[in-house]
Amino acid sequence: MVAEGEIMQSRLRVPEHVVYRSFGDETVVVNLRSGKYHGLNPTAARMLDVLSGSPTVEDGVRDLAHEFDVDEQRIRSDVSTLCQALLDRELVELGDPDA
Amino acid sequence: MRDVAAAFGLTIESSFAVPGLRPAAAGRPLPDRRCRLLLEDARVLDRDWPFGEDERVQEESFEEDIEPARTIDRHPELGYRLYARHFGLARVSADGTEVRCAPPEVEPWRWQRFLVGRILPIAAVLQGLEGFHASAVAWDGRAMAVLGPSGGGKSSIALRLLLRGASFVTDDVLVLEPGADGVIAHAGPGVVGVRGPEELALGRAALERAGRVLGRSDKAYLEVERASGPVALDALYFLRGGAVAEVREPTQTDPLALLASTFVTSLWTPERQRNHLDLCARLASSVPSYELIRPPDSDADELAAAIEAHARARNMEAAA
Repeated sequence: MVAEGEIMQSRLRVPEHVVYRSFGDETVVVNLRSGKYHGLNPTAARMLDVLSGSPTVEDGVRDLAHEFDVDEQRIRSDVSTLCQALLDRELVELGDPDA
Repeated sequence: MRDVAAAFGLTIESSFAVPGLRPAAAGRPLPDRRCRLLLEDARVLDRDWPFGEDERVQEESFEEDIEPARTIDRHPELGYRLYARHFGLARVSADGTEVRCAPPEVEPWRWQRFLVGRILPIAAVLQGLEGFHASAVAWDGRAMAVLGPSGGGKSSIALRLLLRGASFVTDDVLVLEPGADGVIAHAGPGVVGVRGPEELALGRAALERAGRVLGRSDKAYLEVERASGPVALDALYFLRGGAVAEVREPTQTDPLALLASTFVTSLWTPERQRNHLDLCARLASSVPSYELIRPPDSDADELAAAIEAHARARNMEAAA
């Protein structure tokens, strides 16, 4: 379990052994190391897109709060839960924002 | 080499005749991917196979079996060794360009079901193509595929569509690859398996009109004319249960249904898994998918009629 603060200050990266593709409303994520398939709903898929393109997860939270027009604190909690779930499945990695 | 034919997106050079693989006409373009088929003695096939250094990637047994009925073993350099009881032994090179078969002493069409239904799809996948559990036909140069579980009626529907004037593309294994704008369907060998009840329902005259009976085991195996080359894939029909035989438009393609329709399940590498996901995503975005509702008491011709009417309506819409 990674602390929410650490997640927020990190850069989220999709490693090379993970690929994801859109199937209309659903996005399928594959961990090529484990061979396992995972499904993301449209909101989670959009979060992954935004977060993986942001300097830090916290920056992504701000963009998502603006895009979804919701309170930052609420979206921070959802993002943290999603990141933790993706980290548990080795579908994302956290890195240094300056790296 | 005796014959050269195209099937599953491969140019197949064979030292022996294979039902459903009639030699390609002179001057007709053939796929760039090539695969040589050779006959070999089983002892020769096993002579250099490093037992103990291989990995068993698939094993199937039936009730009361002591020994597995079908196995697939893999070696990183030597490729695949496939065994199937009653069908013999085969080796597929790691790059899918050579297949060596050691059949038992039975009529060729019997053991060649193993070649056509198991071995060649593996060779195609090893060469970067993808196989799906589907039957397909083509109308006006556009292919439509029927996907569903074994015994769901895919072959019977394809045969009925053939009798309604469609070109036969494939039975049971549909090999696909991404095209410039969409997805390309490659014709399989021209052989259809017809179950007993469907053979009875068809009647002898219709069966003879559809093709030539090669022989019978659990099914009648029929050699039919097939599409002459690759065809753009235009529609996917997923067989589903329901009350009325009809075609329904789902709100969107179900990724799980597409991903689970893969045919060759014994050789997953990261590269193949990536290609498979890419192709499925391409299918979802570029090929419309529909549900083909099959009531429990429906016959294959009702379903074929529903597909034909749907395809013709789509063609008219596209032309308007």
